[in-house]
Amino acid sequence: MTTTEPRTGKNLDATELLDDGARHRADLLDDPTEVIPAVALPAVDDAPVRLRKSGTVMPGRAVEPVGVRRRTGDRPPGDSTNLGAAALGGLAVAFLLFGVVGPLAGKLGFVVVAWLAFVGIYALLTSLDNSGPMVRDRIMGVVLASIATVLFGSALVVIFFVVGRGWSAMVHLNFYTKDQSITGPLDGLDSGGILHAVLGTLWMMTICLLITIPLGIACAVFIAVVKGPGSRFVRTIVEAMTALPSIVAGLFILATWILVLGFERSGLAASFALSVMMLPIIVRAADVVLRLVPGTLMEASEALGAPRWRTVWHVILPTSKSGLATAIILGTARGIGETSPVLLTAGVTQSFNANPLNGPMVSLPLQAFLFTRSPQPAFVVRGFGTAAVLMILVLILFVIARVLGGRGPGQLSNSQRRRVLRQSAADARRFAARDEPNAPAPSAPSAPPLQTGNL
Amino acid sequence: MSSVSFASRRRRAAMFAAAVAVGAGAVTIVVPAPPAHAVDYAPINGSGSSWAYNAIVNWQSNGKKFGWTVNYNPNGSSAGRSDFLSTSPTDFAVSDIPFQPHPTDGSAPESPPAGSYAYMPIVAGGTSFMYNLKIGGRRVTNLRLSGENIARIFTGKVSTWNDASIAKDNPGLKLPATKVVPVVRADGSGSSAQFSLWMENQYPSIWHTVYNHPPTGETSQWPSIPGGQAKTGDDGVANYIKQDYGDGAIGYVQYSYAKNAQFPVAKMLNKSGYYVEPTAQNVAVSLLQAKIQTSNPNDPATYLTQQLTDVYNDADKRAYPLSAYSYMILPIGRTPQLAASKAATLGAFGKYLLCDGQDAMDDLGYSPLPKNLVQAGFDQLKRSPGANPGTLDVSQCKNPTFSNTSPNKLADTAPYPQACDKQGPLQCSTGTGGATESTRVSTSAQGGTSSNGSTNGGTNTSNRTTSGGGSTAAAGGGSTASGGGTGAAVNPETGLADGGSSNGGADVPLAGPVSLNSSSDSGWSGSQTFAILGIAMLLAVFVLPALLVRRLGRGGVK
Repeated sequence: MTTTEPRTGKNLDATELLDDGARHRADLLDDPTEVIPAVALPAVDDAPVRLRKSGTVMPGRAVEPVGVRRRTGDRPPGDSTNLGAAALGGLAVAFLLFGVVGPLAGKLGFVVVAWLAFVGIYALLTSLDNSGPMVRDRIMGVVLASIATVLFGSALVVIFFVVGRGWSAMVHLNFYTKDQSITGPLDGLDSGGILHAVLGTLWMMTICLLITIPLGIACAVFIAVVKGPGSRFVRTIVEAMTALPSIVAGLFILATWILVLGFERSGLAASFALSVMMLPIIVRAADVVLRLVPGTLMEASEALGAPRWRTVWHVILPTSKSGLATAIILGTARGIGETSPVLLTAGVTQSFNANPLNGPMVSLPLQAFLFTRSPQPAFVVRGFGTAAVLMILVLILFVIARVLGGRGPGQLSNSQRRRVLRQSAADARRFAARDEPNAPAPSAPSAPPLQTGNL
Repeated sequence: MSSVSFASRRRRAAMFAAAVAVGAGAVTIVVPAPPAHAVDYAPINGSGSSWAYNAIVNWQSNGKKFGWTVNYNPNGSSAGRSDFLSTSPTDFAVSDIPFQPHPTDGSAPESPPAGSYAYMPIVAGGTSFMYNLKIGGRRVTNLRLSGENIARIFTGKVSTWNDASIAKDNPGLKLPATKVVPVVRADGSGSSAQFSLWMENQYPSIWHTVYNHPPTGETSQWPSIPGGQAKTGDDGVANYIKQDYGDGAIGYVQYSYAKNAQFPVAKMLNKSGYYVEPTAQNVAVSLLQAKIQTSNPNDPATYLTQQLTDVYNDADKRAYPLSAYSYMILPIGRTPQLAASKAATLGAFGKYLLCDGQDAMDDLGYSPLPKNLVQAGFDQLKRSPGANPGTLDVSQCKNPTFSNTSPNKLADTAPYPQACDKQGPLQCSTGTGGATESTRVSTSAQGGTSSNGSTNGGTNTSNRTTSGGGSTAAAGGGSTASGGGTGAAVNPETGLADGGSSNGGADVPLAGPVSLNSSSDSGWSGSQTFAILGIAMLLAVFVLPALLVRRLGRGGVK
């Protein structure tokens, strides 16, 4: 993006811009080794004659038939057989080494040896009837596919392990509709639930977002758009704060809000601590997004006489809406799973507390932490169930966020489009009324609507 | 009682209404509706010991049914004590050790004003030693350790399990050459403090080799041990020990962690020469000897704290020496800050947990408080502003360790250890802790059998007079058609008893000399190298022709 460079008025001239482009294209084609001058291309008919004089033979217009297009992405013939044979061979080698004959032991070693043997045998089989580049291509293909499998598989394992361990708690309806206040360590899973923690997480995230969205986006605008005095310093501080350990954020609020100012531990205090965590993430991500807004849009807005704040509010923020939603999601993702700041600042309760200003409040990660540390099996199961509920809640929140803020700039919903059209029509009427002495406005309805949505 | 429950129902209805209001989007403040005619219980907040967390969760869930809301944050004893002393103090703290006016671990000294607090005993337990030890792939479940060996293990003085002095404790086991890995708490904890207090009291010379900070010698922060592991929390210690790689590990955890992980705990030698488990009864019996220090009311370091020297040296055969209890720290004379409704909750909750609340302690892996400690607790609770001194009567207390009919019910009914648990040539084979399977002991150590279990020998109080293992052993051997008298021989090659399956009934291999250990995963010998070479040659048989054919084929084409 070079749009932020200061440009002269020349660039605004459309024809010159086109000329610029044409010249640029010609530059690209102007390869010294190329024999044919670019100007010769339009005159194909008489070209051979003219060129024959200069001693160079050019192909005529009749082009020789091109063979079947090579498909580089294809797998060589017999590749499936090779893959299967190599897999079997790899397993066989690993079995030989681990248990049958060999002295090695361990599950991880087995997997690694089987995979290495698989790749080796596969390379050997492929090399029997393929060229070197093809063999390298296939080996890289297998390696990359293995890495993808491992990464995707580990994500699945995390999800299924948590849900699997917590399933026996999650099948009880009371797990979602009750709190833990009358459920002790010896009670079964058909008693008690985590409603208090779900509510705590929702309250904390609501307060955090109320604090961090205005503050974070205002700070990002200051850094990226306004570029006021000290904005470089603020950016450095924000970047440093993204690496702030979460326990420090918790200790900061504990030391100031609770110990010095003497407020009690509450959902509000935890929200403050989580906001300290989330703010730099949101500022940093929003800063990057705002810098991607094309400079021409800002220049257009300012050329029309809009003040800076109006440019920000009506041009920059709507253009980067989707990216700002991503920034807020990133910040929320950082905050919603944090345990240690909540542990220090929220207190612990097993009862339903709907008031974040007064009395202790737990969040889902903290409740999961407390549950899983218990020696009682029922509590550990509840802990995994709590973690699974947290994952589901995060998924729901993110889907909502994407639906609300994920639309690209200029993509309007039906109601938005109707509103824009209404406004255009009103503008057209206004212009028509203003120009009434000159022309009695028959063309107003057919005038193209102002494309404010594209700004 | 009915009026209280009526009030609590009204209050819960009010809370529910408030919750609905908040759910509708309004920020409301929960104001409990003042009941017309009942004691008003406001929620109380506390923090402290994670060791006692399960007990407190149990009490708070039961207390909720009486209308008391107790919020408890298990952030550790030290954090609990500092929360109690902070500018916005908690209503109570739970700590495994008293305030530390002269801390030895570098933390800030805690000096609450004299008379502003009281220590009330709330729950007892033994420091249990969970371990993971295998002989020939079979888990050992009946390990016995003397106090001195425990002290040596947790100061890094024992390198392998076949140490001669540990073998002396376990005549029936041929212990392997597995490395001993002591697992200690990485975080500051009350269990470390209680364990270190015992070390200082009983084995100062061993303890001072790793930690020498007189005069108390007690520390919440266990020093680092050569060859040891430090893990955060009881769950961290227990999780390390129960992994496969934890073979040879031993650590101190709360009893219920071992019980619920189905792992054994070590039996510990007491002063009367018996190896005992930290069961609820054994701990409660030894805590009958616990004293409360009242000598110097002006010294916050000692006044009203536990004096456990008599517990460590208790001569009762059932006593588990490493027994201790946790305190609840009650605020005294804090009336302006502590509202009367909060004090009322604290008083009622305190009375409940000392009496009825002790019932479930056994199931949770703790030990109920014996009568002397309940009495001490009542004495402290009477000083707290919310308590009703008239109702605090030990004779009206429904505690499982004593009753009106039998004032010393616990001491009369607690089971005595089996004869095979006595120090000497015999060793019981029954499992301990959460491990139910028994471990076969060598024939020479088979006095009693696993069927002659603790319930059999224990409930019979006449066993008290049985001094030696001999007569009981003979009786056991004769009645169950097994044991040393039948003369089962040991196969010299396998180390297994001949006719092992009929010997005692259980299909457990005899713990034999462990030659398997060298061939498991610790060593690398020449034969293994040859096996690898053989496999490499086998692979070459398949792979080389393919490569050669290709090379030759290419040459042929050219």
